[in-house]
Amino acid sequence: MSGNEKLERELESFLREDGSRTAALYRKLPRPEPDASLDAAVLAMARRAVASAPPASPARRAHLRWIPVLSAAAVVALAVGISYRLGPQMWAGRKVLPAAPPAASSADEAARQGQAVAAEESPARRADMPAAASAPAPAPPAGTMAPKPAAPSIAREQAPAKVSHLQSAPPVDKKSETAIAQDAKAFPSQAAPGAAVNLNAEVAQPVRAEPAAEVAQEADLAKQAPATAPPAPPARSAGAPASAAAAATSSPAPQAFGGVTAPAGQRDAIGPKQKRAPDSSANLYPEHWLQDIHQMLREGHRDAALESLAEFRKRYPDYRLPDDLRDLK
Amino acid sequence: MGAERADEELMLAYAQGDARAFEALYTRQRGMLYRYILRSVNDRAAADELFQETWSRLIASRERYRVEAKFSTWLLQIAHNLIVDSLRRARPQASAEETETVMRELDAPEADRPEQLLSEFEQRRRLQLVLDALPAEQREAFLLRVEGGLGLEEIARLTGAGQETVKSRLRYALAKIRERFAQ
Repeated sequence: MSGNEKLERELESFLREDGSRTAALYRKLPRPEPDASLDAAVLAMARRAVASAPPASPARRAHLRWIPVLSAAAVVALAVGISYRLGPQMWAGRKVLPAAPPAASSADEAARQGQAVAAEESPARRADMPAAASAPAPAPPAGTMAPKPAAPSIAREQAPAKVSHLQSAPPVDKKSETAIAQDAKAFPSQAAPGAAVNLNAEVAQPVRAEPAAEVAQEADLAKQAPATAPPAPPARSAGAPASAAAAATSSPAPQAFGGVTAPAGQRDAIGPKQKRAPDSSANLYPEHWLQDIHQMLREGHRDAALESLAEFRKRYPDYRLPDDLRDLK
Repeated sequence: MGAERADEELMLAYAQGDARAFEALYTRQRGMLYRYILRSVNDRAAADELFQETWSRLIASRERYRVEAKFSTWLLQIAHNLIVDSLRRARPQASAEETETVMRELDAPEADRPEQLLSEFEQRRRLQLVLDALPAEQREAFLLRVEGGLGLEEIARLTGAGQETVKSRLRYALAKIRERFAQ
């Protein structure tokens, strides 16, 4: 047998591991093994790996797939919850507040004092208060967007039964809106820049000092507006002298807002908390309350309207009622 | 006590977080892997490092493990890649000329002495020297076969060479070992 043949046979037996002399010789070699410390290191590494990050089983992977979906749903629910709770207050912050506090009557004085108290309160406390209590939201000048009324949001939160009434944007009492305009005319000098808090109007028309004549003209326009027309734009003047026309009409200012000039960041000046009452209408600010009474009358609920009016009179004895309600018996 | 679980089964269990499965697997494979590495690099410290690195890579890629081949083939594949990298970094590949020189030196003193006359210790020493002197590819093929228990096809796949090439490498390795022990 040649050397080559022997080699081939050896190779065959080596590959089969069947009687290979070379393999047998190899088996006689020392059989070194890793140290115990090396074993410990490797085993510790393996244990750490599964302890720190257990691999996901198919069932676990299926669960993992839902985590982003559930997280997104939770975030949406949270956002909706927060906006539901805070939304009315935030939106009311955009409401228009009249610029000038009326001083013609004791009721006006009281309103100014109440506003001053509100203005002094911390923003955190203000956030707890009901939404801004402007009366019929004064409409921006022609060409600007109408402000979103705050009343519906308040009604949603405080008097669900009245939601439909308030959301339907009832016609505004002409007198009360003229009163607002006149107040603005009467005390323009006390209005600070930024006191007119119709944000929409501000966006369209930056706050600036306007001549008194222009303010008066706006107020006059408001007076001439039909009852169903949007309320007059708020006064945005500062430092302008009062006009004579403004002094002629002293109309009660809504108690919920006065002319106190809240800084721009505090323009969601909100009426005092103590005005809240258990009665659903009594929860509203006077202007809204009166709207409610009007609404009841329109819908034929005269008794309820009278009852509500009596309650209103008790609560706001100095409030100057509109003519139609003043004579209502 | 039930039948022993296959290596592949143990590896899958470990991939699912069963640390005990890994211990069983490690106990089975540690000696073979260590000897393969040690005889490939012929340096204890380097072997220790490569041994640990091999297991580290295996652990890190446990979730990607699929039973496509024997577990030992996968394990040796990881080790093989590390060894190749290590040898490339450590020293240039021994040339055929250098190998022949070592062989001649090995053969010179006791070339005429029959294998059976050599003591067992001497046989082991010579085999070790021959293995050390083999070109890396031949030694690799030899060790994968005799230590890892892999067949031609598996060695070919693992080393990226053709089966005939692997067979040729094994043939050369055996020839050199036989020469060293030949009558």
